[in-house]
Amino acid sequence: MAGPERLGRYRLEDVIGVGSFATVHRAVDDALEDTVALKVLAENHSLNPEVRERFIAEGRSLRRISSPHVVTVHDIGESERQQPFLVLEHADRGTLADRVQELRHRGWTATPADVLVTAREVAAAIEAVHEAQLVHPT
Amino acid sequence: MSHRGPGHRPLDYDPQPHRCAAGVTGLALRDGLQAVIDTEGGRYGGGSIGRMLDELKELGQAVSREDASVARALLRDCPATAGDVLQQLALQAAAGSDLATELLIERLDDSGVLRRFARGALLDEAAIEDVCQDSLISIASAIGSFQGSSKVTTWVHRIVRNRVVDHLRRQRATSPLPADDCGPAQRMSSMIATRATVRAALAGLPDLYREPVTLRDIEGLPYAEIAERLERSLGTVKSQVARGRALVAAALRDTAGGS
Repeated sequence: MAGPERLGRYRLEDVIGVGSFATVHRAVDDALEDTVALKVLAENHSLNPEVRERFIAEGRSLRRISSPHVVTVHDIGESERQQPFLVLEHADRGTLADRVQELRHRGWTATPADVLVTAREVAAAIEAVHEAQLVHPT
Repeated sequence: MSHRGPGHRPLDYDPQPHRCAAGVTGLALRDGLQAVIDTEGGRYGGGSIGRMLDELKELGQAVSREDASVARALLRDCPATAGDVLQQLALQAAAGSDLATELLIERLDDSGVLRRFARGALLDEAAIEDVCQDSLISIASAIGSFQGSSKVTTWVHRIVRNRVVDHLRRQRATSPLPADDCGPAQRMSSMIATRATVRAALAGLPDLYREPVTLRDIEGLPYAEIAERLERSLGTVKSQVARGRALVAAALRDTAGGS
């Protein structure tokens, strides 16, 4: 009787990130036939109103940002165990650090032009965040 | 804080038995008002401060002499979210005024401040409504404990957060188990069944189901071990437990009178 684990209409697949407050799963939206990332607040933190407030506010803030360089929030939901979760765009090309490491292994070194391309994208992302009157915490 | 069940209507409260004596109350009220003026007076122009003070004083006096119509007329002209007015009503309510409590509850409800606090931590519309209702009841019941040393909205926010936690705990207590064995087990546990009726229902199960359900739900063995003991496959055991539970649930439902 144990089918695949689901959260709302999303079918959970691998865990792709774990933090102290939340876990990120890759998940499939069968209705729209798309892969998404599901960020789920940890069960033990889900009954803490202050942590919930921060988590939900993060989703609402992120929703106000519109940029190709910032991950998009598609939706917000809640599990049957009262865990809020964010449905996010799935960025499937790994982290920048992983990519740089992989390229270096192949003998690549960054040229000033490479660095500029990346820096410009990061700056555009930060600009979009600031336009939404938000400050990135890190 | 005395929080009574959600069955009560927001204004259905008893006067607090532990209200302050009148002299102490007067001092607390004056200090509280001064604090409000000190912190919030800055946003008014010179002439407005005087007018605001006069209006607050008039409101205070109207509430003191239980003149509901004058108090309501004064309140009609100022925005529902005005913090100084809420603060004054809260202080007078804390001091024992039933009229102030009533007006405070009305204004908190109208201002949407409870809703805004509840929405911060909750997503479900029905949950937000429930928590707002519960919070109003708590505020009305506990206003006697409001000290006036903090802003009333800070005090209210703490109450809303407590009701949010209560709500989530209640919800979680009735939510399905996270593992693979929810469904029938949840329905079983939600029925008010004594151990004896559960045992009777279990005893009535065909052997095929009784053994795996007993091993799983009474003895708490993992599925793999049950499979080994009964020399059945894991999949078979899981489905037999599931069906067995469904049968027990059905038997219990019949016992309970077919609800």
